This record gives sequence, C-alpha cells and structure tokens, in this order.
Amino acid sequence: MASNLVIPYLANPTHFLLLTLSWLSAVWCFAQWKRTNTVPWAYLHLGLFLLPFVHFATQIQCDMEIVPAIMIMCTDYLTRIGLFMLPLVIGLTLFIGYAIFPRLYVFSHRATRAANRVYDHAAAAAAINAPLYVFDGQEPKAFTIFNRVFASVGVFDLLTRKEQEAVFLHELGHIASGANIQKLSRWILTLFSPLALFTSRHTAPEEEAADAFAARIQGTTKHLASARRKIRAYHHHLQPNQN
Amino acid sequence: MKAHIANFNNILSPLEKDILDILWKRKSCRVREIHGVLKTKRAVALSSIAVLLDRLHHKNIVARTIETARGGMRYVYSPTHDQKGFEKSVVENAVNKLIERFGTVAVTYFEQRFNHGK
Repeated sequence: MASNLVIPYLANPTHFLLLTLSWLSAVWCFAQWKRTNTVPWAYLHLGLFLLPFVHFATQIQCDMEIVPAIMIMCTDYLTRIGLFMLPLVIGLTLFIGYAIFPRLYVFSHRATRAANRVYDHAAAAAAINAPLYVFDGQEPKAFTIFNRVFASVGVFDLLTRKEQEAVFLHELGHIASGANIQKLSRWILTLFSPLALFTSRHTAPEEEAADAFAARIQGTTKHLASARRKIRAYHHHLQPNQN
Repeated sequence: MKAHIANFNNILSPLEKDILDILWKRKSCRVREIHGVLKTKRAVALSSIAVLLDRLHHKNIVARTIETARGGMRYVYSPTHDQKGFEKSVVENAVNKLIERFGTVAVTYFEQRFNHGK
C-alpha cells in the first residue's frame, strides 16, 4: 500500500526535486551543526529533513488506491496532521524538554530550592543567574537541567567549601556553554532524524569545557581535582566488599 | 558484667559495628564527627563512612535528618534503636525469616526447643 502512494508521488519530477533538494540541504545543515555546534542548524536540518514528508501528506488525494478507512481520513485529518506534524511535534518536544523536564526532576528528586553562600558566591563569580536545588542523597552528586543546578546533601557533607565551589562552577560552566540545549537538540534529532546516528554521544569535550570554566574563575584546578577524587572514592566504596 | 555480648559479624562489617558503637554512645553524629573519632583508631576515609552510613540508613538501622548550617547542609545520623533494641530486632528478623522459609517446621522446632528448655 505504501508503494501505491509513494511511487506516484515520486514519479512527479517537481516532487522528486523537492525531496532531493530538501534532503541535500538537510545533510548540509547537519554538517554545519556538527562544525559550528550552533543549535539552529540542528532544527533547520530537522525541518528540511521532514519537509518532503509533510509535503507528501498534503499531496495525498482520495482518488488514490488506498484502503477505505484511510480514504475517510485522507482529505481532512491526514493532510492536517501532516501539515501540523512538524511544528507541533518539535514544539511539543521542546516544551517538554525546556518546561516540563526540569520541573519533573525537581518533583522526582524531591528537590527544594536552597539559598547557599558558597553557591551564591560561585554564581556571582560566573555571572550566571541560576537557582540551586538541593535533594536528599549522601552520594555527592551535582548536575544541571537547563538553568537549574541540582546538588545532593552529600556535596555539602563531604566536600570542602572550595571543592563545593569548584563543583558548582563546573555545573555553571555547563549552563554558560549551553551544553543542556545541545543535549536536548541531540536527543530530538535522535528521535526524528536518521543522521543522528552520526552524532557523537561523547561528552568529554563538554566536561573539559566546564572544567576549564571552573578553573578559570577559581584560578586553579586543584579544588575540582580533589572534589573529583572524593567523588571517585565514594563510588569506589560503593563497590561490594570495599568496607 | 558481660552476660550477653552480641556477635554482629554476620550482620555488620567491623567498620559498621564501630560506627554504630559511636552512634549508640553519642546518640547523634555528623559524618565528619564519626570520621574524627574513627580515624584516630584506624585509617579510614570520610567517603567510606558516608557510604556505610547511607547503607545503614537504607537498612533502617540509622535515621538521618538534614541540618542547615553556615557551610550548607549536612546529615545528622542517629540510631533507630539502642543496642538492646537493635539486637532484639536482629533476632526478630532472623526468626521471621526462618518461619517464612520453613513455616510449620520452624514453629514446631521452636516449640520443641522451648519445651525441652523448660
């Protein structure tokens, strides 16, 4: 049935040209995104990749040989779904990613917004306005979800103030570099674009950039290094038969 | 008088036992305080004590509350039972497990055992 719809569509030279140009442009945008790490290229790539599908949806006519159930849908619903699919799905994913996901994390980790001198000092030094959320957990753990920094009680319990500051600056470094937006964009591409197979999931460069950000503000790497040693030691002790 | 010395070797690691001893004695402690006491006796890392306290907390052997201080937040740990209460809960747990596993066989055994004891 799919070939009954696709072959007549592609037989039209205009449609074929549209498909070829769209996908070639999509590949070019993808390459630009990989080269520059600029997020709009990722979404442009996605738009161009999905454009032929949307166009295809608008071209489906009821006189095509398709099953009756789809014939009922095709003129009204399928066309509309096809037309609105691209902005709707991407918009919804972005909304979930930006607005729902961070709130979900606050809820699932039972995190509470906290005022902390060390964090406030780090945020002021980094010139970043991002709230701190503290969650219950002995394991020293910190991460960012968009413009929110999350830290476990263990961070305060086990690390010295300078080490805490280094950890917070590292996390604020992720916010400064927009690493979370990059991550979300990669995730969206994984869902909608086959070229996502060529995206690297290697986060080492992002981590190195965040480390450099912290070191630049603190003027040394020793606090971050000792915080990392303590976190590693904690994980080492988590292994069975280590105590 | 040492009428009853419980052997927790199969239940707790030596370090866990030391941590509990401190908590039973002091009622409540921070991780760093326990570390301060233990490091005078043996080479032990702060993170090691934190891991063990977390495990004991998940086993419901110790409770913890968050205390907000100048340096941020920290946990204050306290034992959920005193030493006697803990021993009792260990015995209770073991008996419950035996009954759960062997059912009437275990109950009959205990009955015979107690009757012989009389």
